[in-house]
Amino acid sequence: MQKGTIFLTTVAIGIAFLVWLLPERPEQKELSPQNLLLAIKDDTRFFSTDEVAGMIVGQDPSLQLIDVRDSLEYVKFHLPNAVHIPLTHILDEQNLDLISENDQKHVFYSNGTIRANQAWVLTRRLGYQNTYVMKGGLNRWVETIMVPPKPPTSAPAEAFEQYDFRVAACRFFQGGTAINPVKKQTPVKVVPRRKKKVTASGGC
Amino acid sequence: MGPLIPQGIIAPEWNFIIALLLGIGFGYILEAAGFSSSRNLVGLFYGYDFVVLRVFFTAGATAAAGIVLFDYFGWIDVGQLYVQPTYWGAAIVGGLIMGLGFVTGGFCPGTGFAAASIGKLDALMLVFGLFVGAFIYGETYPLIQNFVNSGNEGGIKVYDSLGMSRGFFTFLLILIAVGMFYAVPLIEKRVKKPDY
Repeated sequence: MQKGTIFLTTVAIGIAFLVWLLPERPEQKELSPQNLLLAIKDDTRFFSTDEVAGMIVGQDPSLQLIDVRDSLEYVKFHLPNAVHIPLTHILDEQNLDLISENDQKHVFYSNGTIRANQAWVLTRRLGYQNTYVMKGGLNRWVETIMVPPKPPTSAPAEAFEQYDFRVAACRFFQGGTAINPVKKQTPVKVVPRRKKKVTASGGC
Repeated sequence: MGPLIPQGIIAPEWNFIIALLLGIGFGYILEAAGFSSSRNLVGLFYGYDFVVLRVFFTAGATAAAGIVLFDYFGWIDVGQLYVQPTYWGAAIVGGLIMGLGFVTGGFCPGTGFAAASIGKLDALMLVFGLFVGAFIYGETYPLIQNFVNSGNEGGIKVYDSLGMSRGFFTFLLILIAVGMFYAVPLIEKRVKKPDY
């Protein structure tokens, strides 16, 4: 038998014994407290009400709204296509199955931000990656989308664009009629086109 | 420390670039190990060439020992590694289709691409068939959806099911690998390679 073969075999069996005898670390499925703190400080989990409205209007298939309020509140009003998972039932198996779907953005919302944030911390601690929070909750939703405040005339152009978007979104959600008056149609003046006479110049 | 991307040490945008580099390396190794020849590959089924078994057992044993050691040194958080969930029915049916395709086509998907890249015509047809198969799967998905997604056992692991420790299982895996490296040449000597 070749020397190299014997050497490699010895190394492999040595590693095998080492691997067997090494103590195993307890497997930690949950997010460590340090990483959770980092995640809490990071505000990328927030979606603004404008962003959520944009996704609903644009029928973004990856959006999954989750209403974490109690059932009375949900029946009274909820966002279109939102699923109802009260905070107390967030750890039920079928609910965790839904949240574990990785190809969707699971956006929690409540009346304010607190209960949605609690749901987010719980699921994030369990290691679910794709959970988000609608910042300000339904209160902010009403303030910004349902009754959008008109920006002052000195506001930058972006504020007006945002206002226009909110008005349009409000109409989308409430089914209102167009506010902008239809512009008077000015009669179109027909200008007949005539072929210009071009005299040949140059040539080859 | 690791895994590097989920821990945010490497930005997720690098995912595809790293995947590309790893893919190039993998393709290079496959070609260098002779995996772009279907004669070498199906030798495993007929018993005259066990290169596939050698390479993949080496890779498996090295990776398993590496993960256990890295975990011990605290270089990797094993809990964050993705474990493919087990679906019994779908895995068995899929395995049968894959095995049948392997022994008739002469390549598995990865080696098929490696062989197609050096211009083997049968491998090009295999890659074409692979896309046709993916298309058919996509089109018939609503029909087989219930079967494909039934019986999700989650990310279960062999050593948990067998009730042994992870270290002991890795130990056994390495021993079996080393034993096979000694045993398969004996089979190879007895079986005559058919003259293609």
